[in-house]
Amino acid sequence: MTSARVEGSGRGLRGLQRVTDAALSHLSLDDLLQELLERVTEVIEVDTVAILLLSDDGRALEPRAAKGLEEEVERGVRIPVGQGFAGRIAAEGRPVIVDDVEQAELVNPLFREKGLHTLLGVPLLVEGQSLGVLHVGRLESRPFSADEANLLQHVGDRAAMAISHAHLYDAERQARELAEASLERLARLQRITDAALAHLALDDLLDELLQRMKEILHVDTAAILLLEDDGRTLEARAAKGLEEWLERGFRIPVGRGFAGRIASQRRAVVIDDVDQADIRDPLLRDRGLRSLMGVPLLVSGEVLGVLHVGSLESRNFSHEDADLLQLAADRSAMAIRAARRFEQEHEVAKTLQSSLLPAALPEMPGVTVGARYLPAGVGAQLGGDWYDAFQLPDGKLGLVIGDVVGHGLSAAALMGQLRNAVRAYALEGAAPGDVAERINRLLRELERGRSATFLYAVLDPDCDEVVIASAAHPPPLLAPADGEPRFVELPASVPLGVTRRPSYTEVTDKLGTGATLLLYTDGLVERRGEDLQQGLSRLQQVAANPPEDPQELCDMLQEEMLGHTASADDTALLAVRSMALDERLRMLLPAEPESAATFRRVLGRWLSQAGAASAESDEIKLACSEACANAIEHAYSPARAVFEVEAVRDDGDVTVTVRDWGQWRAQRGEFRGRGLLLMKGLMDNVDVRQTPHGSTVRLTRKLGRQAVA
Amino acid sequence: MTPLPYLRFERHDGIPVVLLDGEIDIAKAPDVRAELAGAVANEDFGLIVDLSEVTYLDSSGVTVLFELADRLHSRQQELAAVVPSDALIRRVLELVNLETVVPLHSDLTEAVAHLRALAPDDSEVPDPPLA
Repeated sequence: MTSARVEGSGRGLRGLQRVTDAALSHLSLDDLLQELLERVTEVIEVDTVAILLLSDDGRALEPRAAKGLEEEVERGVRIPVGQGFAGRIAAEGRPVIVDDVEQAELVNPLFREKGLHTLLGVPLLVEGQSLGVLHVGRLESRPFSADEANLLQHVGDRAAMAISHAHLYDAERQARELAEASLERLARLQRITDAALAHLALDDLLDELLQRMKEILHVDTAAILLLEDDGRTLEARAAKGLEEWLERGFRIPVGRGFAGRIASQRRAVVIDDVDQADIRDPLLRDRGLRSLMGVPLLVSGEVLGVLHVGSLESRNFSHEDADLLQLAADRSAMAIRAARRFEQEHEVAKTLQSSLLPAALPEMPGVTVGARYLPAGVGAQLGGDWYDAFQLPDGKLGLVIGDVVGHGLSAAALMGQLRNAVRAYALEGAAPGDVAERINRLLRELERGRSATFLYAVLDPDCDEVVIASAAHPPPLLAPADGEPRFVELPASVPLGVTRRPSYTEVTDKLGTGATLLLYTDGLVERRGEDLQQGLSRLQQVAANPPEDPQELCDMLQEEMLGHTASADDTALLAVRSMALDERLRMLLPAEPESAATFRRVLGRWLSQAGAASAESDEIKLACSEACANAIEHAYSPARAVFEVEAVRDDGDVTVTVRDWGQWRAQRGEFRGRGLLLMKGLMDNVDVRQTPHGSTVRLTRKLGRQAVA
Repeated sequence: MTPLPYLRFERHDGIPVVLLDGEIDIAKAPDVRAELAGAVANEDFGLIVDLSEVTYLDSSGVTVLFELADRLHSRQQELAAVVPSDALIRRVLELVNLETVVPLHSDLTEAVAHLRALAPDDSEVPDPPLA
């Protein structure tokens, strides 16, 4: 008996140490409990061991580990504190010995089923707090001694410490796992909300988002379909793992198929098993997808499209997965909307620009026009600069340049209104100063508070004179055929829109053969960190010896003055060059009344080049115009509604030939008769030839003869 | 109809005057014709067309004057024209013999005096207050 006790004690001490073994401290709770069961049996000679832990609410004991009594754990019984053997221990907080299970009351029937005879249980206490109960049992009728009870209490105390540590350890590990999970989740979110994505073009962004969704959600396909303008059809816009969709331009009506259903229901749709779902979407089936998840692309409640993913393996997508997908969808939707807005604005800008700038520049013998509009750099707003050039009813050339102060659609739209109004006033024949004053009135009428600089020049190709009115616009540059370019001197003036009755004084200058007149807006000469005078000087230098073609001059100025850097401001350029006419003048003119004036200007220019005096030039122009009027009247057939004029100087004789291909019509009244009278009265010789295919009038006069009167 | 920028109406001593300026050619003649048609009221004794500021006049413009003269004469109304003697258009109008139907005067005062002298006393119409 003694030896047994000693042996028992020795085992007990060694076992006790084992129970407090530091190695246990790294076990999870369940592993620790299992380990404790083993070690308890090493300390004390028993047939069963059980550990019960107090439930979270502290009202019951839950068997967590058992040896010889495994059923107790498996059954998952809850033993109320205070009831039965274990409940009493927990309630009383002291060891309890049951010598004869058969005789005891309120004992777990399992003990009897197992044939247990004696029981010993101790509370698991840490700092007076009960964690649970440890109990042991024996099949034989040998009762537990007080020493054994003490020993088990020691074991229990140590076990309680270990369990408490394990609890903490578990809690810490759970917290860590939770933290790691959130980090992982955060990382996944970040991959979707990545700011770097913002710099991608729309298609690249969608591609990248889909690729990331594929990786994050471990799916095989990801696709974005966008709603078409009609709002009734979805079309594949981007896809990963479903590239053949894109190639085929996959489309599906709203309400049909998987994607169509998401769009019509405007909410996430998850299908764990395609076979079980009422989805007839052959493309998805053909691809062998088992599970699908899709969300709508929503912006301000408006469906733009659908984002969906698919898996070849059967999946149960979680709420978190759906949330992530929705996040990616929101991100895509924002980008799509922004891109669409940009596209729309770009489209509006393009339309505006094309409607605001003249479709074609006027053409006239002896005068060449070039122009250029340079929008501000990418990202900058629309500008309010414009140029315009047109032929006036009297055959002169109208040249307009202006700059509405401010940017954006409103500035551009106002510019468009002003441009049209300038044209309207100019074509009515209003003089430059008058046009400026009327536009000032209109601008104040349209938008009080807006202002614009503006310059209108009328060039008479006959005499090379240009009449200019400026409303605080930068001065035009006049580059003569030889010599230094100079700025046209203009009187000080106020911008349009600033005062009620400004006066715009007209200035007359002369171009001279070979000279170029350049109109421009301040974008050409204003550079950051440079004052205006420097910019003007730079322009003067760059424009010395300009290329003959005004269009080339504009291109050159863009290159030299603005370079390739994106400009913050838009710039308009308009250049006109006066050129010597060929000695043999030949021109084709449309058979319209308006051509008569053009003809007079050009012929006048040619005559003065040929050395005609002013008075004789006027008479020759009038006589030849009568021939033109004749040609214009004949051109009833639209087949070839032009007539040809040719002028040559042979020694002292000027010969002008007017040829048309119209049907000859009999003279009406005395009108043409008077025309012929004038021709004959003003020229030395008039020769009229008429054929069924047109008529030719040849007029000759010797230069230097006395005028008719 | 928008008034033509190169055409304006005045009244001098009760007589309507149409003043033209610039270049009257085949493109403008139809507008001038239409505008002149309404320039003379039934009760007016006649009309003066002042061409002092006209720098160019071709046969289409000339024809407008001939037609106007025909119309006024058929209504027993007088037409007179003001054309400076040294102008190109004076030579033009002489070449087409406009003087045979329309008297040409060197200035407006002379033309007004001429028409006034022809007018019966009861046709006098006072100037509008602001004219």
